[in-house]
Amino acid sequence: MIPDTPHIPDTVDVSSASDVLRVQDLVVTYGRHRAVDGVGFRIAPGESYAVVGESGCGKTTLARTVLGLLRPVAGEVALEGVRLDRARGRDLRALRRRVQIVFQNPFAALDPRMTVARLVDEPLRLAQPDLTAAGRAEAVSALLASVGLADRFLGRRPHELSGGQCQRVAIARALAMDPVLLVLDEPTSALDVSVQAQVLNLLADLRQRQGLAYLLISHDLGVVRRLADRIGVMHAGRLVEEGPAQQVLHAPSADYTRALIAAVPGRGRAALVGGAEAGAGAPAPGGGARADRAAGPAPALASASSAATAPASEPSAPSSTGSSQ
Amino acid sequence: MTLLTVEDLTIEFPRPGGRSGGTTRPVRGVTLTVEPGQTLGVVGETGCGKTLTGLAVLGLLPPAARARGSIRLDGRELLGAPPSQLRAVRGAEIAMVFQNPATAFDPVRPLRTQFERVIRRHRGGSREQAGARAAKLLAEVELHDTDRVLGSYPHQLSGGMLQRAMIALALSCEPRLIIADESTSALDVTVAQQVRRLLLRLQHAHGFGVLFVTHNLGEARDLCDRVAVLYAGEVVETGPVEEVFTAPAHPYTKALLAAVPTVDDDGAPLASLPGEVPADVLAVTGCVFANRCPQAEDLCRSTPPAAHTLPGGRSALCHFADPEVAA
Repeated sequence: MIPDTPHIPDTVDVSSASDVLRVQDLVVTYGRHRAVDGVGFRIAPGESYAVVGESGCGKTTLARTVLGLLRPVAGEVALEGVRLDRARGRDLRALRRRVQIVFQNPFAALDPRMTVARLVDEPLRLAQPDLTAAGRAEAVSALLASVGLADRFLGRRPHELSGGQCQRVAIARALAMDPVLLVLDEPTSALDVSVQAQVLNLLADLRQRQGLAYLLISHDLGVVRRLADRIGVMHAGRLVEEGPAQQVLHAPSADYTRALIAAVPGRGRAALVGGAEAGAGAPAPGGGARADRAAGPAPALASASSAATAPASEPSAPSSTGSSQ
Repeated sequence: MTLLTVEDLTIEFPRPGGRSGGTTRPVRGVTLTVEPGQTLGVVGETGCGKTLTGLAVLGLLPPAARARGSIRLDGRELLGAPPSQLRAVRGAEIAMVFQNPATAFDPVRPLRTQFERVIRRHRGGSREQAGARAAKLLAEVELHDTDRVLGSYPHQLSGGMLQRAMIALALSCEPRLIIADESTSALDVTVAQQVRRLLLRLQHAHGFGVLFVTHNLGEARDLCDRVAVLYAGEVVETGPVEEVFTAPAHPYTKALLAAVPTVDDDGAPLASLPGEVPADVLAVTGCVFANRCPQAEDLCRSTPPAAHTLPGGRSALCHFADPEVAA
């Protein structure tokens, strides 16, 4: 842990101290509207957990609560065993450093007047106030290198960068705080396909190299499949299904999950027309006639048809009902 | 007869102080055709020229743009046609469905007024007749609470409802061509799928042709009969959708398809396309894709390729268009 980790003994929850993030029975409301309604899940160190769902399902509200930007009306958010929802003032600020966020639109997330060097230096001053100017310059270079940007980018401003390069800078800024958890809120949905692939590869690589945990918020199941170990499917403020990524995507147990999977385009016109309106496991046309990944973009969820009938190997109840200590 | 023919379309913008004679040319020599009742997908990434191509067909290019080439609807030249003639074509013969229905409708008027205006402008008749037609159209796009929808302002409806209403409005004058520019991109995944189904069903019932502009390859595969893949302002590959997607002939198409993460992924790193589109494509002597192409040879860097015609109604703008496809 970083030196200035707050010590607030009464809020330390020993039972889940090994989890990077533990969310339990979380309720967040806007007026009478329960945007997050009894959600619970855990993220282990180095684990990548995806929350998928459509607009208004509460996934962004959930992310903001995990960042300590919104206060829940009920439930718990514990970061490395420390209750974020109870922390105040300096303690809260110190805790927040451990969670960083990468936003959807990198152009909006970066100050247009700052150079890349200053953009990355800014969080570094907070994270390591004792570092000399020379030490910081070295650290800035190292951070940029870790996201695949060479030193020649140091003097550029956001408008001189492509979307993918901006997103790399945003990731470098997040890494500068030495977080244990990175919240990725639709990190590639503003990017072109070819650039998205580069950023997804970078994020997969960073996690392996640095042992970061991810909370990924996305509506794109292809992206989720690529980055997530486990998936929670959110609908109307609740987790309707949770489980290992493979299981949720290939043997979903909730009707809503099946509908989401069936709505992924790219299985051809016959599948689109032939699929049931609810879309529960429409059979892939041509029996998944996909040679290799270069041959088709969003191929045929070949297993989608079997998924509808396959018994879910584990009931995978949402953990909002999970054990409390 | 071919419904829409775009031939050798080049769009130019003046660029004060810029190189290459002070112009940019975001669309260069684009040739496309849409047959009656068929859907052509125009796919590509940001800046490839797909949206400008769609706007050019409607005669809606920004004032600074200069277009040359030919755009013909049923053989009638639209490029350079007088504004009055274009106004008669737009809405009546060619209709547009934009990406964001929330900004495509007028926010300060109820939908009823907006439907009445379009219908009466092109077909005349009384407000009552126009209202009745609007109600019928809304029922056709599965918005059955027609009185409430027509009495609503855009902000009172969901994105999916608005896009259905936009499609109904586009259909109001029985157009023969619909230009759909990222028409489902702003919608949630399940709603987008419903809208795609709706478009197919309506196309089947009405027989209009569609020019479908999208960056989403999966969506193009579901909706299109043929696709044209654009890169840096040029059509690099065109052909029937299944053939192009299962056996792409151009290296860019291959790279693009390989870069899409899928639900069936095996977890191997995605094939990402290195590098970027050249900042000034007019300064490139050879193929504009050569700097990113894994197959590029000296010839590619020195000489721009011509479009190779391949069997099965396909073509590719590449010196080395896949021999397997050509065979």
